[in-house]
Order: sequence, then structure tokens, then C-alpha cells
Amino acid sequence: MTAKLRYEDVQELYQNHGAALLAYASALLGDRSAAEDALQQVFLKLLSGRVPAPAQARPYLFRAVRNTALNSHRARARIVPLDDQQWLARPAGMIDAGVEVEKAMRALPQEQREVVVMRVWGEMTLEEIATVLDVPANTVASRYRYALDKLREILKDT
Amino acid sequence: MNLDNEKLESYLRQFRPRQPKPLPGKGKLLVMRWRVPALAAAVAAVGLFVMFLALRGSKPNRPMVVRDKVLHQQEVPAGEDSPAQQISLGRLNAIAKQDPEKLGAHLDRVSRNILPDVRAGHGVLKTLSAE
Repeated sequence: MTAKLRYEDVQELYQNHGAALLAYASALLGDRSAAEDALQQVFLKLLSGRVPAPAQARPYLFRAVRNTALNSHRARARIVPLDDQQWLARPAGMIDAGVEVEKAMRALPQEQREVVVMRVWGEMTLEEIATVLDVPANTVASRYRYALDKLREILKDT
Repeated sequence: MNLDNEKLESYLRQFRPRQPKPLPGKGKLLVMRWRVPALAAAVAAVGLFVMFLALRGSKPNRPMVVRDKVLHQQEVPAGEDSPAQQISLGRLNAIAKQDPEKLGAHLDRVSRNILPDVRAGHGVLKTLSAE
């Protein structure tokens, strides 16, 4: 942690990581509006100036979103299944494929799903993911491997 | 990681996550930051204003109360009981037992202090009695 973040710094972080963080929060909460709220909470805290600039922004942001999302999840005191709200943009001509990918992601256990989101859309290394989840890197690697196997199995027919 | 995994990753990356709603602008952020302190200050100001009005409104009554007490004290001559004491049930009962004939005279004397005197002053009773 170093100097305090300026408004422009926070905006830049939001531009660079906002979409992946929203996907991550959606994967944890299963509710896009709750995910948006969690993301806004994290960035409003950063904008308040009370938080020093993190040394490694990406793992810090994913961890902050994770904590906020899980706290929000506990506050709601119920397990919310992933809803049908789209959290992935679908390229033209791949709308059906997009639906299948989201369906396949919903079929994953949460601990595998969050690893896939951080690795694929957050573009994080397995070590960075291990830092966020506070588990050994080997555990992350095995969760990721199982997740990809399952996704491949689900998506092979599409 | 084998080639299949890399292919699958590339396939998945074609579907970009949706963009979140934009962060609040600097101006809105400033409003959000100062909203609670501003609200607290407004509530405090209203509270002080109401207290000021309450204190201001209660001031004119105070001299009247004092004056009433003073007037009331002046009406009772020194050495005599107050009208309330003179007309108490215990006092009247004692007079009736000791000297029943004096009871009427006592009530006449006390009534001068208790009942309004229609002959004195320029009050409503005087006006009504004149009519």
C-alpha cells in the first residue's frame, strides 16, 4: 500500500477491471443488481480517499469484491441461484453460444466458477488467484482444471 | 495446460463481461460525501430554531405570573389567613361547632375576598351589573 488514490486513478481501475469484477461478483452472488451494488461499494470506498493505493491492484480489487459480495450474501441470509440475467456480452452471430456458455458456468460449483472468471476474464495468474482466495496455488490449479473439464464436457455438444 | 485448455480459454474470452454502470461523477460524489453531515447540520439548525421560538414564546408569560402572585399576596391583609384557608371545610366545621351564630358572619367576610365585587373597578361584572 502506498499513496492515496486520486479520482482519476480510481476511474482508470474501474475502466480496466470493472467488467471482469462485475462478472466475478455476478458469479458469486448470482444476481446482477446485487453484483453491481457490491462493485459500487468497493469503488465508492476507494473514491472516499480513505483507502491507500494498493500495491497490486488486480488481486486487491478481486479480493475486495469477494469480501463485499460474501458479506452481502450473508446479510441476505439465503443462497441465491445464478439467475438468467446476462452477465456476458454476446458477439453478433454467437447469441446462442453465449447462452450456452452462461448455462455451463451456472452448472459449475461456485469455487470452480470463481476461479474460471478470475482466470479467463480477470486475466489473472494462478498465483494471484491463490492470493485472492487465500488457498495454495495447487488448489487453484486443480479447481481450474476440473472446471475446464466440466465446461468442455457441457459445451462439446453445442 | 494443454492445447485444448488454451482453445477453450480463447473461446470463452470471446464473450466479454458486460460493462458495469458508470461510477458517480466528481460532483455527485461530493454531494454523496456531504449529504449526511449536511442533513445533520440542517436538523440541528431546525432544532435550535424551534428552541429559540419556544424560549421566546415563554418570556411574556413570566411577568404575568409574577404579577398575579404579587396581586394575590396584596389582597390578603397581614395576619389573616388566605381565602382558601378561611373557607376550608375543616375551618368552617370548627366555627360551626364552636359558635354556629358566627358562621354566617364569617362566610360574609370571607366571601368578600373570594367572590368578585361587582361594585368596584371597571370589569365585565360591573358592566353586566350596570346593564
